[in-house]
Amino acid sequence: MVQTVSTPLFDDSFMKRLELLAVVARKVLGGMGRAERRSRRIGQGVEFADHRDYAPGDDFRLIDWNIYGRLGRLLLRLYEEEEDVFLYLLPDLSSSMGQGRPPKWDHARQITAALAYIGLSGLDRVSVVPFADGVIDRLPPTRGRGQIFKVFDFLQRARTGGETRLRESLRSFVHQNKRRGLAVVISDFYDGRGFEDALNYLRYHRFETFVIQVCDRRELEFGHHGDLTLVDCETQEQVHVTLNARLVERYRQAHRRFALRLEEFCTTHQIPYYLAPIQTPFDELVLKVFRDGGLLR
Amino acid sequence: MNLVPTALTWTQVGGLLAAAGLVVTLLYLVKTRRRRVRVPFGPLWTEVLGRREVSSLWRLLKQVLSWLLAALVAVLLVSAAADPRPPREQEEGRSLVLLVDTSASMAATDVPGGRLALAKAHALQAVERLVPADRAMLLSVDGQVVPLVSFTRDPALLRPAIQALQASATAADWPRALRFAHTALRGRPHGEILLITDAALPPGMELPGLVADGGPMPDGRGASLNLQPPASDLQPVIRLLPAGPAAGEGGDNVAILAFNVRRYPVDRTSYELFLRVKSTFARPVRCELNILADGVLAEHIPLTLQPGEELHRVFPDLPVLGRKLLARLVFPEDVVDFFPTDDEAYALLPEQQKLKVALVGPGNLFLEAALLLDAQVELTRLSPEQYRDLPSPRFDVTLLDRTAPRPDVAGPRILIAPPPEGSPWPVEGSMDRPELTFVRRDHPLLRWVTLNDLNIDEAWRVTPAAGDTVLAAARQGPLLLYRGGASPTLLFTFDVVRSDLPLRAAFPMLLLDAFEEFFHHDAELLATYRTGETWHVSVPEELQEVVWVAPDGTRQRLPAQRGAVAIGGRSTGFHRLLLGPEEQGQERWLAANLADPRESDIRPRPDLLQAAARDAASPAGRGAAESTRPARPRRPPWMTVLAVAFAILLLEWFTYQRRVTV
Repeated sequence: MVQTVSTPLFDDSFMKRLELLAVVARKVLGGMGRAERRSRRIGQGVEFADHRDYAPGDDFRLIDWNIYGRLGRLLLRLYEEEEDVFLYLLPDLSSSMGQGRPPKWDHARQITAALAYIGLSGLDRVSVVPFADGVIDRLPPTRGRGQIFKVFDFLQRARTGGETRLRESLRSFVHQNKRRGLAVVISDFYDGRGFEDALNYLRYHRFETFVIQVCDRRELEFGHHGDLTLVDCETQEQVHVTLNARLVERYRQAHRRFALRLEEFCTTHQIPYYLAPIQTPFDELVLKVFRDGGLLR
Repeated sequence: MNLVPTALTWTQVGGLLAAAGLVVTLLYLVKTRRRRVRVPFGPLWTEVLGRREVSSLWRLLKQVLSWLLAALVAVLLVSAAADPRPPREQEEGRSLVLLVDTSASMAATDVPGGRLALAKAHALQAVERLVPADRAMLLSVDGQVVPLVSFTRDPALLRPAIQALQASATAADWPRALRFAHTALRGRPHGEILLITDAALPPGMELPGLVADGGPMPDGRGASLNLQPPASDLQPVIRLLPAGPAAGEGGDNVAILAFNVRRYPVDRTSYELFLRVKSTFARPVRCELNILADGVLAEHIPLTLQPGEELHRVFPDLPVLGRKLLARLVFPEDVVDFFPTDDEAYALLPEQQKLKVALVGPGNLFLEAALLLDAQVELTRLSPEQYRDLPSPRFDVTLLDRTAPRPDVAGPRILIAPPPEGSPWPVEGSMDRPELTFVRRDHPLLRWVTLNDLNIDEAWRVTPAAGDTVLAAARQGPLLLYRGGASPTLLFTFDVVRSDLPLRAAFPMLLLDAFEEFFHHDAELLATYRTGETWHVSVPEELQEVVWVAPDGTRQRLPAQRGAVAIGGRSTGFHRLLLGPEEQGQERWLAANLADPRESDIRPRPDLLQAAARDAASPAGRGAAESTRPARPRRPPWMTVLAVAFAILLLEWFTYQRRVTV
């Protein structure tokens, strides 16, 4: 496992930006009170959700007598269950995320921390589950804005390394976490076995999936030429090549096709997809997420 | 074009080609280590590379092309090193010997830029006319014949050597120069000797290859000459290229041919000057002769010279104002002297050395007076007792008046009637009123001394020993005796007070002659050195080496053997010999002049100019002047080969950078 030392990212300026995002988020959500997020479960809440026909044994107190007076039908009033939303943040901790200066892992951590803060500010339960060739660690679901420092510490301690195995990692995650919720996968998706099965796992197990693909535009520039041995940083597989401008252009095209394929898959399967180049500040991405809605309702 | 290697043999060329090919192949086969680059996602690269159309044959061909280019460059480099040339060039090239006159007359200014500048221009022109097959050699001819550039095809070697030529202050040794040239061309076909000179050679000087074919010239300077055609292909052609004024032009010169000085033996405060000046002007000329002593004008002498006049003058009683004398001719504005080298002459007055003389005796005013006449005598009076008690007397000369010499004291001495008990000569008696019957007038001790009718009251009678010289004698015995050796001694067998010798002028003269004899102070003419000759200068015997400083400041170490140094002086002026470390001030000065009437006659010989003109007008001479222009650029083939190799290297670099051959 390749170890990459992460540098402190969560300084005062970062906190200020998070505060700003939180303010924006509250505005977006319309100034709702405590426990802003509503789950779609029917339960014992106070908010009317729906009607259904009365069946023997149902609680009489739920009968909507107004409807009965008008329509002569016995219908029960259904209310939304107020319960906590679980926000699972899954940052990729594989070796490919540790490449470059600064590495993509720094950007992924910032995004993770920002989303965690928004979630904690909205009284969601936030859990951080980094993965590489499997689930590496887990920050148990926590709630409350004050817990953000736990998130910071957790992310600071994390070290990149290992191969990217999306399917195995997300399958483990699904089995380990029974409570469904939002699953945000923050990764470069550099898995030779593909990403489709992994994302489908989340969908099939009723996780509301979001995909944030972290990328580094410098990987496309590739300033090397001539006789080279290319070594995969995760698998250590070697490829001998004599590189020229034409080959580099082909690599760029292949990379674009790869990103496009991921985006198309997400679009097809109604998975919100966001491309997060490290050259773009993390708060811009988060704001974009707010504008698109979805992650925050 | 058929080319043959000239710098290497075919075997060497083959060996170099084989070695170069092996090196190129080995370097090509050595696999270079690839750079390792970590990439985040290898499968993308696999996808990219898997799409390439790989044609193994094309890739192989491109790699072989790179090897072929490198091998071709190696072949071209070896070819260039072999210096290939057409075989025809080897056979038809000339061997040219350029003899450029750098004698003193070439410093004349009667042609624009000077004669030497004209000679250099002729020489450069001859070099520019060389074709690639020609070889040329350059020699400078003055008092020495110096080969400056050996046979070469490269004009770039000849040009700077020609530009660096300078005129010396010596006459040209043409016979030796021509012998040298003939020797250099022995066995070489198409040899040619080109004499570039102002033709101011001495009348009657014969040159090998130049023959007289007629009677004397009208001006009497030499006979009509012709350049002798070569008897065979192996005998070189001789051509004369004048680098001076035309016949009858230029040559105006007034020369100082001799400039010598000597001190007066008695009056050392004045000196006598000998001067010889000659004019080659065709009209009367006036000028002035300035004598400078140590840089200060001491004398100013106007001169008027008729055409061809040679003036001898003696200038007596000139006060001594310095040791280094410079004679300089100064001309009015309307007179142009074309040869400035002989307008100055240099001379040195002998050094004056004070003599420490001890006068030992009871007192003798006549002796004291005689000694005080010489300003260079530092007199110390001692009584016999003082002399006896002196711990270690160090005097240049000890004059003992009626006093016995100390046997422990060496050095020159004059004994006047020493007492018998201390006399170096045994006294056998006395001579009463001796009459002078013999005088050795030719001896240096009696130079300018007259002893006629000398009256002497009494004298000791001594017998001279073997090796003694009797300078004057009476019938009974010697009156004046001289003994040389480590302690040279002059003996008066009589008391001078008891004679009339002190009343004569001969007495002080005799003492001075004795001092001169003891220390060899030369009162004769002190001649200067002539440039172009070998100067043999005496130095202290213990010296192994001296430093010679020429007038222009150049220094050279010279070996000294047995108290003498040989110097080949080529420049006029004051030369200095350092006999020890410079700060100690042990040095000797020499004055050198041209002093050569033949070299000062800078008029070119009409016979030589005629011979040159006839040769130039002849068909062979015209052909030599016109046919040597190269029909094509001089660039040798190896330069073209090298340029092609460089172009291929550029092409190979370009294709490598563009990944065409990789």
